[in-house]
Amino acid sequence: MLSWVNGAPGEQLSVRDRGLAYGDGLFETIAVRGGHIPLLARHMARLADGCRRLSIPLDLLLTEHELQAFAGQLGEGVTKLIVTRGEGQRGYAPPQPCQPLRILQAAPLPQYPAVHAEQGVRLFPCVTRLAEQPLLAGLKHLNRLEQVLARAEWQDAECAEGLMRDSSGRVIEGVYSNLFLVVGGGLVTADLSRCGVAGVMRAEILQQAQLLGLTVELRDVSLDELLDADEVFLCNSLYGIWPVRALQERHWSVGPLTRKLQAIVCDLLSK
Amino acid sequence: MLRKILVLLVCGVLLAVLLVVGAAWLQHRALEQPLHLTEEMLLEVPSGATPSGLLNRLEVEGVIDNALWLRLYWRFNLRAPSMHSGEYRLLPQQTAREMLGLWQRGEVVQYSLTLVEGWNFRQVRAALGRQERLEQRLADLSDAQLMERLGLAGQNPEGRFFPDTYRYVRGMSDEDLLKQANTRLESVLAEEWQQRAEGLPYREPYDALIMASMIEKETGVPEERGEIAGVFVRRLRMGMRLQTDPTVIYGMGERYNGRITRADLRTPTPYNTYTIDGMPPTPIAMVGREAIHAALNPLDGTTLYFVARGDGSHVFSNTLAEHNRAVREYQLKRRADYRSSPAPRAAAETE
Repeated sequence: MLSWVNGAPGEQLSVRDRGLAYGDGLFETIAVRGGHIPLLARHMARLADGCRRLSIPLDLLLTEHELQAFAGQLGEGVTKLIVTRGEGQRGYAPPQPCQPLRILQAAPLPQYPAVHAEQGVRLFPCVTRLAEQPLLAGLKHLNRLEQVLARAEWQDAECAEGLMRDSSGRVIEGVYSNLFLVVGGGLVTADLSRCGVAGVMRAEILQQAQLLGLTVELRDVSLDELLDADEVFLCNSLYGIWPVRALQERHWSVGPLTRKLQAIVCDLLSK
Repeated sequence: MLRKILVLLVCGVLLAVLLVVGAAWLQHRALEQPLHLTEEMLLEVPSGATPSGLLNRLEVEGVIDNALWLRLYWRFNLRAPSMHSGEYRLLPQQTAREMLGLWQRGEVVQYSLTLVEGWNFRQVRAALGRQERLEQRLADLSDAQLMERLGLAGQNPEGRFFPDTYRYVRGMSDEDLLKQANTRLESVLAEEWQQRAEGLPYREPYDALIMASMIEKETGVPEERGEIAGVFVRRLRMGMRLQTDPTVIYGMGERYNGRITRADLRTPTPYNTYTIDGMPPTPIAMVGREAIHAALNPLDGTTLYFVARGDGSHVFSNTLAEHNRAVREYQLKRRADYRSSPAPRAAAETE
């Protein structure tokens, strides 16, 4: 498969890269359709925010051009963009000056069973909790050990996704998705100022909801509230929206608002 | 003598020119002043409000200076008879001239509310109740009182409103919005009724609306609406019960917790189409045009049963034996899927 390092075809990296040593970097998982990136602006905005907060001096314009050229070659599939702070000597201190590294990797679009989108998925209640760290909250950084531990908790294909809560028990997100509740005709999703990954699809759905005139609340969500919700759905930038049909003893049927947003997002992703 | 008159005349003319120039300068300054705002302000304008009154109010509130010059400018240069009521969005750094432009063009802030296909009336009322910018006139009324207020006394509200995204401005009420949604529904239903197929088992458009609501709730797959309509219509013609789960769920009301059991199917309610003959007494949800169209143009065929295949489509069958086979096959296939090796699935996952 296609693979570029710093804009040139290649698969080799330095063993001294800080992305490997410390997870010192960021990544984006990007859907590519017909050579285009439907959510390009949102991916770039999140990457820019991450670079600013981690003080990684990435050339964003160059990265965007590379990404577009790469997508053009790929045509149809998933692009994973990894940005690291680059090489460094031993030690945590960020090297001055530093040369950020850009990796672009291609993969085919994941083939999820259609039943996930059509009839919904069961959520596995993960025991692994997300640590609260406001400095990193919302970023898609390269430290994803919590997700690795959480995903290892279940093998049963009956569950397509797992529910992740923070160390105080608040409902935050899925292992590789964000989570929305429909309560009284409005949307509720977790406030991600302490932990969690602020997905680009989540941002897109929040904007679409606003256009539809739906009320949107970003706030703390308890497990009881989740179980009480009228509808629950997951989202990410590759599959769009999956309804949640079950969590432990609680069952939901696919709700009208979930279907409506699913159709909107589906249109957006196929453009 | 002549000299004196001339001097006076010149002085007079100079004074007049000075006054005009001065006035123009003052007016210019008043118009180009930035609004004294640190953050966005929504200026609410009730119907019947005048620009003069608003300008005075804004001067008192310290948002603008020299309201007098702006009032004169409005009176002599813009001459819009009255103002569009609603809310105007005022921003820091906007000038008074830009604000007057907004007023003249009637650029009020628009809000939107979406009524979603498949919602029942309880959900419609909840969504209306959450619109803070919408005047709430119906909140305390019962459904029956509400319909009376809309001029639809005696009608059941379920399904009587067209799902769509409605725009509104400050000053409009939930009543205005529902009237609009009802008018839309009536016109869509009438249009579709004109283009209906022949020989349908409906006495009136309302029957088609009831049918459409069952189709709406039964499938999320647009291509299958016509075929599902076909199954229901053939069943009606034969006097066979419809046996569709969404009617059971609707009849259960608050008792429904996301799952229905065999006992629920057997428990009679006015809506349970496993226990009643024919269609339920009212629609069970709001419907979009496509579902209405399907109800009035069912596909020809011989199938009488269907079961969700699990990949988004349905398997349609002619006989109960065939149907039971399909149910078994679908369930077996599903179980087989669940047992499938985890290796390829792991490769397909995202991050």
